[in-house]
Amino acid sequence: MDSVAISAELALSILVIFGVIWIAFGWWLGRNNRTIDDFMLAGRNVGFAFASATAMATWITSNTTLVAPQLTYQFGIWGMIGYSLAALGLILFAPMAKRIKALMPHGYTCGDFIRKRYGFGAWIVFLIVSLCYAFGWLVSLGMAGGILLSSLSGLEYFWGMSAILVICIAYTLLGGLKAVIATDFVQTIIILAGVVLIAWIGISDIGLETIYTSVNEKSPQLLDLLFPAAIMFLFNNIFFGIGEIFHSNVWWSRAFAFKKDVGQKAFLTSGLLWLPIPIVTGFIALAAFSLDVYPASADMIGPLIAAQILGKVGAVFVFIVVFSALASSLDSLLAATSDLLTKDIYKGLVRKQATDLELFRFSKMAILIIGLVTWVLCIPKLTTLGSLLNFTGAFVASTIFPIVFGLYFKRLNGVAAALAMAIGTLCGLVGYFTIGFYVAALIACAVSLIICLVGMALVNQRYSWQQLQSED
Amino acid sequence: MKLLQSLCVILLLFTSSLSKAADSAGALMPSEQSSSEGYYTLRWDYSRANFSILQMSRDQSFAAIEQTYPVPSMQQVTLSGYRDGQYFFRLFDEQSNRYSNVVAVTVQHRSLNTAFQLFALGLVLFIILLSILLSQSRRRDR
Repeated sequence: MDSVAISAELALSILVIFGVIWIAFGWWLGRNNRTIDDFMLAGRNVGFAFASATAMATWITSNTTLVAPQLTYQFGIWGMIGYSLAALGLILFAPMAKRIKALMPHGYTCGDFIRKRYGFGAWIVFLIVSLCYAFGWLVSLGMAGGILLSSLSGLEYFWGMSAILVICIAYTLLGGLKAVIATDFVQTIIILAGVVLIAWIGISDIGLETIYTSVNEKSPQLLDLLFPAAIMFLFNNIFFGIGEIFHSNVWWSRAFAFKKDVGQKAFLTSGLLWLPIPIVTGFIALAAFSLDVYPASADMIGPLIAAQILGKVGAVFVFIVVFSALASSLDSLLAATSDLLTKDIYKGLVRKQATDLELFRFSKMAILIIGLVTWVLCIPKLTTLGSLLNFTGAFVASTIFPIVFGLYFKRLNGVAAALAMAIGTLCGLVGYFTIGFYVAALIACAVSLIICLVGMALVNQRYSWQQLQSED
Repeated sequence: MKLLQSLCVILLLFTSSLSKAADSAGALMPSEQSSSEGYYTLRWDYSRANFSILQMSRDQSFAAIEQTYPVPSMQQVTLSGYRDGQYFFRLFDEQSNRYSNVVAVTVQHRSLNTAFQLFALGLVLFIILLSILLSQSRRRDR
């Protein structure tokens, strides 16, 4: 089977056209950014429609367009369902967004919360966890760009990855969070229309019965509900998704940026709308067996099938949809990680007296630095997307209970929270390397909960919520 | 004379290692692997043949070919959804009627008991998390 559906020239042309559009849009939106609040939090004034769209578009990423088909190809029915349950992260974050806005109406980052709630030690552990995750996700997105282009056009991985990174860095740099949210809105419409169209054509052209018969004949384990690794994967993925959202500044910055009382409704709506999307994108992978399409690497299966079903025109369409999905997450993550570097590391550690103008300038430089580091890390393409993403699962899942207890209970102290995150992550990584990528988050979360509970049983701290609103 | 013999031995060893290197560079790889998840990747690097089909059989002699797979041009393929058992693979070049070497994959899925234990652990953690969020949100709303 030839994996090249469109020419490299055509793929690059589309990339350049969309790149110019997004960059120009970013510049136009960001032309009135004057303060750090404008750049980092879109003036803290984002309404319900944009809020829901940006939450949904950011969560539709390489996860849903490339990794959901990969995991369906590897784990079958459970892979598909398990992935869709990552929506629980958005749904459960809804009440937390309301709480965050109420506790810290003038907050900037999740790091602010950890530092004020748990102190310096826990904050350092959290920053390490958070930056490891952010770079893991950024690298996975850059890799996904390269994989997408090489699957559909045969263009070398290096060039596809580099082009997508350059475009996203450019418009995030010009427009800040306003550009990110506005492009997310447009990208959501493109992604939703594309995903529905591809699935509809796929099912009507091939037929559900043919798909079922082929999978049952060629790869029967994928239909087996007692598939051990897939059963392990189910809750692992749920906790990975929850950990990603609960701890990440991508979502906290949105909670701060949305208008009062908008966050809870927006996260709930976006979660419910997101839920069926991995089912649709994952289902496409099951058509591989009736189409006789077998990928070089499991993470290439989504675009390969879509291109096979829709032909050359379809491949162009798939390219635009997946590119939009990647861009919508990459820009959000760039902006959020830059916020973390600016507010937590630069202002928190390096230059405590920095003015708003200095922070505004540094946040732009941070986007460039993060982009450059991501590009370097993407070059070797060390593993598949699914494995890379789930590696970060050990980090993020260890933060779930320290954050939840930190938001709702006064009792948990900084030492217990730091130990829960550090030891939880280490145990999750042991599980990753000794059992498989599909248990890392679950183990990290369980260990972290036990440490939090022991910590609360041993020490009864009476934290004052007013400290969260204090200036540094 | 001894020096000449030693030189001959060195030369033989050198040529033999060279020919082994050439064989392994052109082989379907890895020659043996095991999988606990039913998916795995096979790679090959052949410049002298144009392999387009991967054949799978349950016996090493390929008396009965159970599946054939058209393979990607990227000289690597990932297959999934295999049940417990041993599977043998070889590549086939339709034009020159040539076969590659045979490789074996052993699939042994993880224990279902362990899977259910981890599932139960996940369920308990999820119920705890959900209870905290629901009860605390209601309390704060009131």
